[in-house]
Amino acid sequence: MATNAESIRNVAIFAGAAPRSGALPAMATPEAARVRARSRAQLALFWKTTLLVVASLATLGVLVVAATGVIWISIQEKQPGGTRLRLAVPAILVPVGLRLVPRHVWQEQAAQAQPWMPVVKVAADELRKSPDGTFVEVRSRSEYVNIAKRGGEMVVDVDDDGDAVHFSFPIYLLGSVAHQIEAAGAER
Amino acid sequence: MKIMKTTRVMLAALSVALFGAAVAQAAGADQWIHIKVDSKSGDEERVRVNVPLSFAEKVLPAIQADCLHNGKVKIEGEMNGVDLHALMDAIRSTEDSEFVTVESKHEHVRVAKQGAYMLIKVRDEDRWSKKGDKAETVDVKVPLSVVEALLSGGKNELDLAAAVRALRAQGDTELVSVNDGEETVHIWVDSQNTSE
Repeated sequence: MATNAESIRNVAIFAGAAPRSGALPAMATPEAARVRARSRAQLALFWKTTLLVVASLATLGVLVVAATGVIWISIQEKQPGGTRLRLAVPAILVPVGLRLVPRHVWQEQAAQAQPWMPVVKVAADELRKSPDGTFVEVRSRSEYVNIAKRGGEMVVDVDDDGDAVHFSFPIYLLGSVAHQIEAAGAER
Repeated sequence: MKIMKTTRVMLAALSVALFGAAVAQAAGADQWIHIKVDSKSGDEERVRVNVPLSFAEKVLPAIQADCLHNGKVKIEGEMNGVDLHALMDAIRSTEDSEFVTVESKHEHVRVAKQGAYMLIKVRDEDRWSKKGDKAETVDVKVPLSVVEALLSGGKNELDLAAAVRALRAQGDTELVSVNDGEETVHIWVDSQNTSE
């Protein structure tokens, strides 16, 4: 029990809620009450600061994700008991992730894709400026494919007898990834 | 009386402003090329492709493929001494007329110039008798300015990017309509972003 009391006191000292030295103050004296009040105030300040930092980081994260967009992936197998996958990935992770992956891993593929990168970059730039609309729609008895631009996003929907797939991504991502592939291919 | 005159002047100014805004909006609206294919056979497939012409105009020159470079297509094979530019000049300078007319028992082909357009019309009734539907019809209507732009590249070259630019300047245009009873194909340009 004494060990437990010691541990609690150590935690309180760490959090600034208890004086560093001396025995626990007697509850009744005015001095002890002042020390307790000061400790409580310090503890409250500590938690408030922590909360503020966490809230700021969370707000910053939300703002970054809101500003850079989200990649939505949804795959649903239509067979009974089929897989149902829904994924939302902050778009910013793609260019950041590509920077973190060692270049030699995807350099060869990047070099092969190199000739098409200027087209992708121009297309991404023009898509961004283009008005919203459905670019391609294929509809038959067994299949439905739709490629559209909505806001700053490209939206791809494929629905056939086997699966329903939805995929959307911010258009700027095309240009950003094309730049990185071009740079990786040029280094080869 | 003075109030009525002022009101009239204000209404006239408002009308002019609205008309100006409408014209400005029409000029600034992006043109779209639409391709619509409807099939009655098999899976009854319906295909709709809608592409902003501004997008095509910018992307075409960036493509460097086998025969497409800088928005220009190299015409492979022999042209047998046919000078396309001279041919175009001749077409442009002639009055409206029919250049080719083929009439047979089941087939009618007509190639003509009408105003600022080149028209190609084909009616094939032979297919009608086979399919029990109606005659296969092909109607192509191409603005001369687009043909001219297409041939504005070098020798044995078709300048697709220039043709798209010309098409964009042309405004709403019907280009191709094909109906063979089982399948219909329709290609046109307008300022709508849907093909319905």
